[in-house]
Amino acid sequence: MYSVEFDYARHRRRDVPLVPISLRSKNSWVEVWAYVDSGAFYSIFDDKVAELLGIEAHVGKRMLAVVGDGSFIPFYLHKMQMRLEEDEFEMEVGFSAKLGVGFNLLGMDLFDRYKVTFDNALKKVIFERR
Amino acid sequence: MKRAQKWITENFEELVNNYGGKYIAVAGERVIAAALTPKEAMETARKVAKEEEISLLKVPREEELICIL
Repeated sequence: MYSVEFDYARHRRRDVPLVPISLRSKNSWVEVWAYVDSGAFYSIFDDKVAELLGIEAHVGKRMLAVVGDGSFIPFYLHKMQMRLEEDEFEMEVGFSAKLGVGFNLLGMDLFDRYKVTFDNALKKVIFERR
Repeated sequence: MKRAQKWITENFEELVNNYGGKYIAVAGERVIAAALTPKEAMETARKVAKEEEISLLKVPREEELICIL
C-alpha cells in the first residue's frame, strides 16, 4: 500500500500539519504547501495560486464556504491534476480571493483517497492510499 | 522527505518571523525568493534555482496561527 508521511511543522509549541502537494499547470508541476484541515469539506487555495498555474479561477463552478466568523466566502471549483509525492490523481480544488487564513487548505475531499492519520506522538501526518 | 521539505518544517517558526504574509520559494535549504504573490515569487525563483526543485509556501502571519481553531 502506498504510504507517505510528513513531519509536523512547529510554531511556539504548536504542531502544524503542513504538507507539500503538487498541482499541474499547463506544462509543469508546481509544489505548493497546504495545511491539512480535517474540518474543511473542500480543498481551497488562494486564487493567486490559480494565476500562477495559468487558470482563470472565476471560470470554475461557484461555491460558498462558511468561515470562522460565520460569514460566507465564494470559491470556484476546478478539476486539477495533483500529486502527493509519487501518487498522481485528479481532484477538485477550490480557488478563492477571500481565503482569509494564512494557509492554502487541503480538506476532507483528499480523505476519500487516503486514510489520513494525525499522529501527535510521532509529530507526523501520515497518508495511506486506500 | 526531500531536503527542502525537511528544512521548511524544521525552520517554520523562523520563516513565520521573517516572511509572514508572503509567499516564499525554497530550494534546497534556503529561501530563494519572497513576494506578495506566488507568481512573482516563482518567477524570481526560477531565475535563481536553475535545476533545483522549488517548493512554494504561503507563510502565515503570527496572528493567523494564533487564530487557528
